[in-house]
This record gives sequence, structure tokens and C-alpha cells, in this order.
Amino acid sequence: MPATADTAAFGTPVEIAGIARELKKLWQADETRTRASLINFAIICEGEAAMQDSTELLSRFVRNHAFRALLIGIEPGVGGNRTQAWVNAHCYLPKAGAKHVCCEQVSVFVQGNVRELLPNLLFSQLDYDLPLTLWWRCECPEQVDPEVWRWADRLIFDSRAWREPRKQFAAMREAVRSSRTVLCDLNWVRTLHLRQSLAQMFDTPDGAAALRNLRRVAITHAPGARSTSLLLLGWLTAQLGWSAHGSGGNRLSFTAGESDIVTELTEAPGPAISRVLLEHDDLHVLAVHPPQTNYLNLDLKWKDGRSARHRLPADSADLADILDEELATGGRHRVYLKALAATEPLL
Amino acid sequence: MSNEQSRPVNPLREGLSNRAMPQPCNVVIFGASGDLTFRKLIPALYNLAADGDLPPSTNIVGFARRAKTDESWRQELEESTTTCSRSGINEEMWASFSRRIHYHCSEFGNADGYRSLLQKLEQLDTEGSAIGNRLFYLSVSPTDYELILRQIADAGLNNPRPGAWSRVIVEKPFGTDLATAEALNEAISVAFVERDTFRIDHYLGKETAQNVMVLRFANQIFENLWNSRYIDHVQITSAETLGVEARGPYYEKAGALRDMVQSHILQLVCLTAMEPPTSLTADAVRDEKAKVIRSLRRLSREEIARDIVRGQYAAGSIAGKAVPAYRAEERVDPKSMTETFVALKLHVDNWRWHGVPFYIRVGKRLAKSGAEIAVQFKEAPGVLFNSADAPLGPNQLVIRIQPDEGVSLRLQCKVPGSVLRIEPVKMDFHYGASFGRQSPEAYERLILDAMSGDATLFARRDEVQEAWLFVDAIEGAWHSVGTASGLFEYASGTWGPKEADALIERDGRTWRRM
Repeated sequence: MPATADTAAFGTPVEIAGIARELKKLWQADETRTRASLINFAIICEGEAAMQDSTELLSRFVRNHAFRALLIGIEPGVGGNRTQAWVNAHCYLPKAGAKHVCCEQVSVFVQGNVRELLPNLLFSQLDYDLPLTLWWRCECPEQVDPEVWRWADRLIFDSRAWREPRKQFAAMREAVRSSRTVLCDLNWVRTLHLRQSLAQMFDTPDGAAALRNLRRVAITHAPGARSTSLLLLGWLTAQLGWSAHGSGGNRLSFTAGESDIVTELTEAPGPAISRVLLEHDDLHVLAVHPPQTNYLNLDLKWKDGRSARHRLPADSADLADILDEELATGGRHRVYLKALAATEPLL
Repeated sequence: MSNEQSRPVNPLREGLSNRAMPQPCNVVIFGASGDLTFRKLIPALYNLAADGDLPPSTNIVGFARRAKTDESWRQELEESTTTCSRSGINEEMWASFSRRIHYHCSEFGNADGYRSLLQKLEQLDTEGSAIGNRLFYLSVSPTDYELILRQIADAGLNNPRPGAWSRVIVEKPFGTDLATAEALNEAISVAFVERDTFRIDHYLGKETAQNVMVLRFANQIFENLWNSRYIDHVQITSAETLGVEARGPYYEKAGALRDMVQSHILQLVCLTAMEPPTSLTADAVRDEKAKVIRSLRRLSREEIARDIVRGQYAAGSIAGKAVPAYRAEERVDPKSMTETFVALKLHVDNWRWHGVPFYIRVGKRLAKSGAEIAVQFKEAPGVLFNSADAPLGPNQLVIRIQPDEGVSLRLQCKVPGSVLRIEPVKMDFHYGASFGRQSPEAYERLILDAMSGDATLFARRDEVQEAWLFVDAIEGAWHSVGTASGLFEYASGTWGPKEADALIERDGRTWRRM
């Protein structure tokens, strides 16, 4: 990291070999603080700016999740191997008179042959016996020894940011194929509330019947969120047993039994997914996420003239909220894997 | 009366939640003007809606005697929910949620009021998609239960349309003794079958109470030790620093035994002592809990006099402020003989718990507020480190229910140094520190369970009746001419009468310091 870089947010500079000792000192120094840790939360990202951003995110969700954070910033292929390390703690006061609850953060910046250096840097700094959640914030899967991914209990990534999603999905899936690692795509979590809301609209008997006979699906997504809309479409495809006809483009055709379903993707500024229309002969369901709001308006219209409007929580665009949702939800994301299998041919 | 037919499965629901799916319904709250409605029920329903957990077609209809309009009731609810909701309120979400709130003014005994309620519910069904499901919440004085239930049945409100259901939630107390509990159960059964009856005890909705079963049955290390071979005794404490406040008239008739032991405390005894259920279905869990209550040793009058201590708080001080005696509280008889404290020694007479006493203490105006279950293990053998002249303390597993929810385990540990010195240390788990996310209120979980038809966390008829049978025997002995037990005073701000200390010290044990 350049000497001019602002590393104050990372805490006290330490030697890699002295990290454990410095952490111990951190807790011995102040008895008004309680160290809390339920997971090892490792973040691997590229460059100093991403490290700063990750530190900011960690400080925000320390209230909801107890972790030991291991932040590793990488800069592959720059001269010889070089590492720098810092230790820090994020604390909050749960209630007046209580002890501060703190989570520790170990930050490491590594330059050079990252592929060779990374496994030991990660494995040697994990807290005993705690599961490892690894957030891969890089574009460069070739920079990682697949062993690193296989060690993770949960591997978090955000496929929205990928430039070559088809290739990267394949690489990630292959890397963890024989392990118990759970793939956690923030791009999938980004539609959690939308999927919950849409699902709720079909809980009634006539709704459930309509769901099986949808005729048209229209999704409006933000620029750069096409993969988000395709994952949503993949979810509908997988859950409703549709078969895709062809791929690519913004008009995609499916069949379910003898019925045809037409789908349209439209790009417009706004939330990642700002509008979803599900049409059946007797029922129209329209979900709209107005810009700058945290709710969805859901309008139902039946052919017989009935209508209903509901307001439900919308998905946040804030990465910290999305990450918080993922860590809080847990599970093995089997439906995601089904949706992904249906999405990949559409990419 | 349920008439749930095979409901079409919604494939979009897969993977979104691991709980039973709540179904849209019309929730009718009897006692819409009451404190519980304002402080707990509406904030709970609002929070469910704000989190996206409440089926969006759900309507709420308040039923009460006072004349109000939909709009005036909504405004009152908005004010109270702003204060009482765990997350405050979001104006946009409240605007949407409150559109589904309606007020229905009627006397509880007016048949016309129920007929017009039926019309209102049918109209709401037609307008929306609550599909005819109805959930009646009786948040009223128990003396009104029978009247309301009869009117519900007479108006046919308990008969859902095909494919829908009709359920009732009843607030505690479930009667004041066995006879009134049986009468209440009979009154309920006229309108609702047991499967559709949800007797709510909010203690069971608390995270830590639910965690007792997880701790016991999801951790092999504890369940193997969970018996008379390894456990010396169990202590269950529920302490409050508050006095009776405005509840004088109710408390005068109830007392600590009926108010706390019959419901909350015996439920905690059940969770602690029950056998592993065959499954997590409501009846499998409740079968095992009912067995525990049936296994409680019935005490003779002499045993009641010896093993149960009644107390009543006298004047004293709490947090540096003087507080009055119970008999000086508002609307309390100055010569009241009602107990505000009770300490009991119970026995669960089954194979697992043979010879293991359960010590219970509950009371008001005690030194500190808190509720916990403490399982004290037997001492290590008196060889090696545990010598007779320097005995080690026993291991103790403590499940804290409130206020600082968590679990701690006391172990013996060598103090670092060149000599062998052993001291107890505590492994401590705090929910608040480990899971920073705000837990839902107990009522949120319980209302959602009722909407899903999951009665696991609700008391079943036989559980309630067995609990009253046990408690009635004690009350009977206390109030019998010639054998009436003493009522011991304790200063407010202390841990109860000294007779309670003597009760446990007689067995060579002491109450835990909380």
C-alpha cells in the first residue's frame, strides 16, 4: 500500500506474526468491553479503496452480527511479495450501563504472488472453531487457490458486478463442487423481499391457480442490473416448471405444458428491479418499487373487477443491508441453485 | 371449526421461510379499547406487516363497546404504536397497514352486533382476499369469555366457508381454578374445536423459553446429563421489582400462585423436565408437557405447609426509593391475605427426575427483576480435587429468560500459578451480544403461529386443567379452616421472607444469587 494511503481506519499497524498478541492486548486494555464472535467473516477485495469501503461496511453491521473480521486487500503481480497488517475493533453500546460489545478486525494488505500468499494469511488468522463466511469481492477468480473457497462454509459474492457472469458462475460452481460450501449471491438476496412479496400474492386458491397459467411477465431493471432480472426470471422458470425457448435478448419465450409465456426485460433508471408485472387471463399482479422508497406497491386486479393494493417492504439498495440480510437469513440456498441453473442459459 | 381442504401449494413459497405459512385472515380483536390491544397486539401486527411477514390481505377488526369510527380508532392506534412498536413506525407502511384496520362498535352481549360483524367480515372477504379465514382474539376480562363465545357461535361466526378456518386466541388467565377453567373450556368447545383453540401464554413466545428445547434436544452433551443421576436440583426464579401497580383488584383474587405459578412457571417446569417429543408437531410437544404436569407430586396438607412458603411484601425501598406495603397499595384490602411471593419445592415423580427437587420462587417487589432456570449438577466425586475439607462448587447451567437473555455454565478451573488453586469460572453466552438483531416480540411470533395453525407454543386444554388441579390443591390447603398456612411478610427490595430461605436451606442448599 502506498505510504500516502490513509490506513487510520484499519487500526494499529502490526507485524503479521504479532497479530494474535496485539489482539490479546486489545482486549486486556479495557474491561468495559466484551468481545463477541460467532463467525469468522473474511473479506477479500482488491486495493486500498475497497479495503476502506469494507471497513466502513463492517463498522455498520457490527450491531447485528458478531464476528472476527479478516479483511484482506490484494494487489496481484506488483513487484515482490509484500504484506502489511493492522488490528482494530468495532464496538457498540447495546444499552445504557451495559458493556460495549466489540468485534475485532484484522486487516492485511498483500502484494505480489497473491495466489501463493493468500491461503496461509487466511487460514492462520481464523478464530478457533467458528464457521468461515468468506466474501469474495474481487473480479479475479484466477488469483485464488480454489482451496480457499472450499474452506469457506459460506461463500458470498455479488454476481451483479461480474463482467462475464456465465464464466464466473461456472468457475465458482466448479471450485466448490465437491465441498459443503454454500454459495451466497448478493444479487439473489437483492430480490429477497420482492420474491417474498410476489409469492404472497399467490397464497389464495385462485391466486395459486393463476400462477400455473401465467401468460406474460414483464420486468423493469436498472442499468447494470440485467443479471438481477435474469435471476428473478430464472426463479420463476425453475419454480413454475417452465422451459425456455432460445436465449439472449430482451424478449424471451417459455412454455409450461401447452401454454406459452412471453417475458420482456426493460431497462430504466431506478431501483435494481423497479417493476414486475405477472399477467394471467383473470389476474394481473403488478409490483412497483418507487424510486427513493423502501416499500413496494403491489396491485392486484381480477377480471371480475375486484382489485387490491398492498404495501410491503422493498429490497434495500444499500450493500450493508443486503449483506446483513444474507447473514441473517442463512440456509443452503437450494432454490437459488435451481434458479441459477435456469438462469445460466439465459445469460 | 376448521374446514381446511387440500390447499393448492404455492411453488413460489419454497425456500423463502422455514416456518409454517401464515394464511391471510380477518383478525377480530374483542377488547379493542383495552391496554393489551394498544400496547402489544396492534404493535405486534404492525411489526409483522412492516417486516413483510403478515399476509397482506389480513384485515383487523376491533370489537368494543365504546363508540368510535374506523378513523378515530386508527388515530389512537397510530399514537400508541409509535410508542410501543419495537421499531417505531414508518409512515408509508403505517398508511398501508392502517387501511386494513376497522372498528366495530357493539356490546358483547348484543346479538345484532355479531350479525353485523359477520356481514362486515363477509364484505371484507369479498373486497380482498382473506378467503374467509377468521381469527378471534379475546383480549377481554375472563368474565366476558363465555358470553362472547356463545354469541360467536350463535351468529355462526365460528363456521368458516369451505376451505377456510375459524380460530380463537384466549388470553390468560384460563380460569381462576379448575372448575372455572373447565367451564371456560366447555364454553370454548361450544364454538371451537381444540385444534382451533389457542391459549396464549406470552412467556412461551420468548426466545429463551423456546431455546430451552433447542438447548436440550439439539445438544447431545446436555441431554445425556439431564436426569437424576447427574442433576442435584433445579431452581426456577421469576422476580419482579414492581408491585401490583394498577392491578390490585385482579391480584387480590389471584395472588402469585394463580397469577404466575399456574401458567408461566409450570410451563417452564414442563420445558425443563419434559421427555424428548416424538416430533415437533404441536401435539407431540404438548403431550410431553402434559405428562410432566401429571407427574407433579400431589402434596398433602402437611407437605404444603412444610414445602410451600407464602409471602406478602411490606414497605421497603427499591432503587433508593421508599415503596409502600402491598396492603397500602391502591384498591387492595388493608387486611389482605393475598400472597405476592411464593416459594415451592416440587417433585416430578417419574423415572428421570426421581429425587430431584425443583425449587420455585416467584414474587413482586423483590431485590431485582429477572427470570431464569438454573440446573445444578451434583458435585464431582470427593477424590482428587474435590476433597471434603475444600469442596468445589457444583457445575451450574443457567438459562436466563429475562432481562439479559442467555445461557451460562459454571465450571471449575485452575487458577494460574505454581500452587493448585481451583476457582469457579463462568462460560457466558448473551443473546444481545451475539445476536444483535432485535428479536420479535413474543406476541408477533404467537399471532403468526395462530395464523399458521401451529399450536406448539400454546397451552392445551388438558395442560391447563392439570395445572389447575395441582394449584387448587395448594390453594385449598391454604384456605382450609384450621390448616391455613401462614403468610410471611418480607420487606420490599429483599429476596422474600426468611422462611423461603429456610425452605431450601433445610435440604442443605441455598437460593442462587441473581
